[in-house]
Amino acid sequence: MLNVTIAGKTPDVRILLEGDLDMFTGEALDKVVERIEPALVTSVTFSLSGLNFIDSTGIGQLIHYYRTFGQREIPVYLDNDNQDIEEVIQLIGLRELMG
Amino acid sequence: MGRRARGRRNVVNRNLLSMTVLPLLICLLVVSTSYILVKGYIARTEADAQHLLTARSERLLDLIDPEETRTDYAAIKLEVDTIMTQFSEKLTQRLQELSRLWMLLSMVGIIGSVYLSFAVGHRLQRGEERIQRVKKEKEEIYQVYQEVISAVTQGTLRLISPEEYRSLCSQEKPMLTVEIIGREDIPRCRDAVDHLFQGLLPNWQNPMRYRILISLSEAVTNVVKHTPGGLLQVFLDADGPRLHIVDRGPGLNLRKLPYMVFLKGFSTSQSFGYGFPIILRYMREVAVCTGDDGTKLVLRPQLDDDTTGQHRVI
Repeated sequence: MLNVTIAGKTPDVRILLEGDLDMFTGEALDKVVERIEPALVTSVTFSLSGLNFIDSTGIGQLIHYYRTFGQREIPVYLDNDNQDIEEVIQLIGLRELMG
Repeated sequence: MGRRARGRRNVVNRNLLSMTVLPLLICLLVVSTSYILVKGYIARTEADAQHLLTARSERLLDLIDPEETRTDYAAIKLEVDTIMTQFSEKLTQRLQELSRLWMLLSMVGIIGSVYLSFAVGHRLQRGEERIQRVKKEKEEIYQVYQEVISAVTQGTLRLISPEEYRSLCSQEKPMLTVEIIGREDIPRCRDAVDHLFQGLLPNWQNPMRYRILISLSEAVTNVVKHTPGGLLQVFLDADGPRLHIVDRGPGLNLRKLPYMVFLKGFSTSQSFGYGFPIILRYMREVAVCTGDDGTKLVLRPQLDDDTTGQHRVI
């Protein structure tokens, strides 16, 4: 299961993720992100602290958002304090990619 | 279809041609030539008879007196006997010729068949030798490949044969079996293994737990993404638990395996993308058995705290 909520107000959007992010639940996140109007935001932050699990498909999805918003010069940030998730994020090289 | 498969099909097609089409063509040639010859001889024999009768008919007519006063019946009988004798001689001559030609044709047929049998047999033998040679070369290359992959991954990744795989799971019954069909089976597999290991392993907690579950998730996701489906089975032996992820896909392209293993983010329709490097990083041992009937992945998890994989090259 994955719960996705938009916490922050525009122009700085904060998306809270709770549960598991994988190929099965990725669609729920997609639906929420699609609702964001790029013209109205200046930054997007994904809060992963509520996540129990994320795999490479979930991280791949975050990379996709980073690139899509990046094309419109909207910075994307990751907020995470889960050590296990951080290890995988770094292993895949997402932190490196996001500078 | 690969170049080798096409080559094998061409060899099979050529052998099929040599074994069936050529002998059939020779038979057809012999039969049709015989038919034409027999027809020709019948026509020539008819012509001979016609010629004989035409030549002798005037002589016969001379012997017949229209008023029937001077008809020489003895001479007519002699003439008819002569015609019959000549016709019979002609017929015998034609039959002898036909018989000789028939013999010749039979000889050609027999020699042709014998030659073809030898030629086809020789060709088949050469084909078989070539197949054996290629098979042996392939086995040698596969063996070298196996050793290189194992050496580069410091023994973590092993390519195993179907026999080795069968011997791995022939004596045990799985502790858990989950069918993999759709994406909903990805969390289902994770939850089932999480639940099983919770009761099975005393130190079942993060980060080890997370590393095993993410490796499993990557393998199952790959089955869902790239194959029609598969199966997760969990076995337990003296060395600890083993996760078997079996799919019904087309098999891995071994030429691309190094890219899948060592190049993060490398993805083809058959690859694991980021998944395979993650699996290799966190598993103690990974065995891959792949073929036309699918891929079997055997994951042997690291069950102590040293699961960071930092010591590995991957």
